[in-house]
Amino acid sequence: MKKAFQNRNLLVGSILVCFLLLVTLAGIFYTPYAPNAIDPNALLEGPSIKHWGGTDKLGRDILSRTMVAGQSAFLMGLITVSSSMFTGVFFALLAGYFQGGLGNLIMRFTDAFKSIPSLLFAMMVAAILGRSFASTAFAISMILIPQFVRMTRAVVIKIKENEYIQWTKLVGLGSIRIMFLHILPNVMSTVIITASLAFAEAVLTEAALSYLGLGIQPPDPSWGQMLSQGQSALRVSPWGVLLPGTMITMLVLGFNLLGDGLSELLNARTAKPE
Amino acid sequence: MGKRIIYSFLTFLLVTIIIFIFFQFIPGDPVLSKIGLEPDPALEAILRAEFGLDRPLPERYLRWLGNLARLDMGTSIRFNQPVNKLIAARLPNTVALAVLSFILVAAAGIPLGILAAKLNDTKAGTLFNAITQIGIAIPAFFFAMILIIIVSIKLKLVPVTAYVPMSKGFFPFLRGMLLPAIAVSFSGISITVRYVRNSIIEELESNYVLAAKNKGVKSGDILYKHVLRNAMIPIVTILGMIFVSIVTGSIVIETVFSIPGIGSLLIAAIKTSDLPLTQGICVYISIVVIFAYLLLDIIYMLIDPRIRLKE
Repeated sequence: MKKAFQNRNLLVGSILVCFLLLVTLAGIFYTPYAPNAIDPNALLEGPSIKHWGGTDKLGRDILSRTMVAGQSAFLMGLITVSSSMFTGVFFALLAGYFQGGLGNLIMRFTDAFKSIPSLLFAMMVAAILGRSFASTAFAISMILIPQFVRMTRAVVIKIKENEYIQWTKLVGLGSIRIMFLHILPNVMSTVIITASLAFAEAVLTEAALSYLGLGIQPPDPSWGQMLSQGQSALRVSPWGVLLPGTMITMLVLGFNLLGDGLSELLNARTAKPE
Repeated sequence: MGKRIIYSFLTFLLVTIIIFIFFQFIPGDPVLSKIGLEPDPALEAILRAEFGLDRPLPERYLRWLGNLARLDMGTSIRFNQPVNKLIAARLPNTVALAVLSFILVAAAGIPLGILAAKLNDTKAGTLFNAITQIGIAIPAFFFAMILIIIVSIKLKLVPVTAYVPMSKGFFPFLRGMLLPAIAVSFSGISITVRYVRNSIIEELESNYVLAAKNKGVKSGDILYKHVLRNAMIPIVTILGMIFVSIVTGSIVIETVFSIPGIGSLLIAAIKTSDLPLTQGICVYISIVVIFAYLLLDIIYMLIDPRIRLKE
């Protein structure tokens, strides 16, 4: 525990993520203004005591909208990371445990899939399934699966060679039991690190898609969309883009640092057992 | 090396299969949408045969692949022009943006990485570290807006929509591309700086550096004559990642700066449900990326004999 506090990446990352989570959660119960309330008397205002983040071209309060948009970002991250984690780890266990035929097939597909740039794939999904929260969530989940497969499989292969796993085979336990009861608990640290980094990628991809108008659609607010709206009024009101843009950057930074920090902490522990 | 080329070809086939199958799931029937509200079964059958839609899926895939090999990617619905012509017309802008970004990544990333390694364990080094972390986290389009606010709106150095077609002179064109290229390359530069820095720091701890130090070789000589050469080899491995970050970065950045390139064409194609054009651009970009990965692997094999011997 003491070590966790000394790790700067972990500390800064957790603080950033917790802070943004708190702001977002607060937005469920309280926002300074109604996020969709239009005020024709306050168009494109800069930051003031009344509107901390300024107002957009319809006079809506940017801080309130940013807080509500955070819910979409966190929800999107949560849905995509958990679904890709379950699928990815499942395939990784199979690919690592059954090296050869089935394992090779899974890895070929993973590699092929990885060579399609992820944003391009997400855009393809938007073209086919339409532009909505659900199709964005599906696209990002698919994008994240290969990382879970690759990272976890490498560890599965290493663990499989351990004596205690060899023993479970000798005792006559079935493959499924060995995979899920004996190997899975040992790959959890890798899965958690990957999940943290994947969350950052999910937020970044969602923001880019929504900015391009291919992700979350209005009236549901999202940071990417707010940036796109703010850009059209950049000359009059450069303040409009700062708050949502900073939120994306801070959230991505937070999860990247968290992932790096966890990796330093957990890998150090597995390398040198205490 | 032969194995690697076969492997790339396999990947290419798999990618085309994934993309082909994906585009079979389009909601709505292209034939029915063409005939209208009162479908005539005879006309429907003729049209299906004309589009080749009456053939089984594998045959349709092979025909599509054959057309692809002849650079025939179909006809855009919106522009009513061959997809390959549309791509070719927009290609110079995208390539120019990508090349300029790549030059910026190399020209800024490597020297700054060396500097960061020298500054390791100092306050400036920590600041460097923080800036590169932010560089990786910040979305390219948000960074682009900050650049526009500072450079175009506050300092008035470049107009906000700076794009000038190449036909109006090379230098005005280049000037217009500079801000977009900086926006695209920022994350690539950050990745490179971190990688070069870590690579050098790792090399500096190796035995040959210790031996050279004990022999009394000047530390500058150790760094530039020995360490740098060894530290640069692994950098080839991140070039692929940087290439992809530049490709996807330019798709978005073209929209920010209204540059008529492949990225903005793709977004227009998706928004107008122009599926042949969307599919064509997706395949095209994927092929370029696979080819780039293959090329980088070959370069890596050529400069690092250890990898070559393993084969």
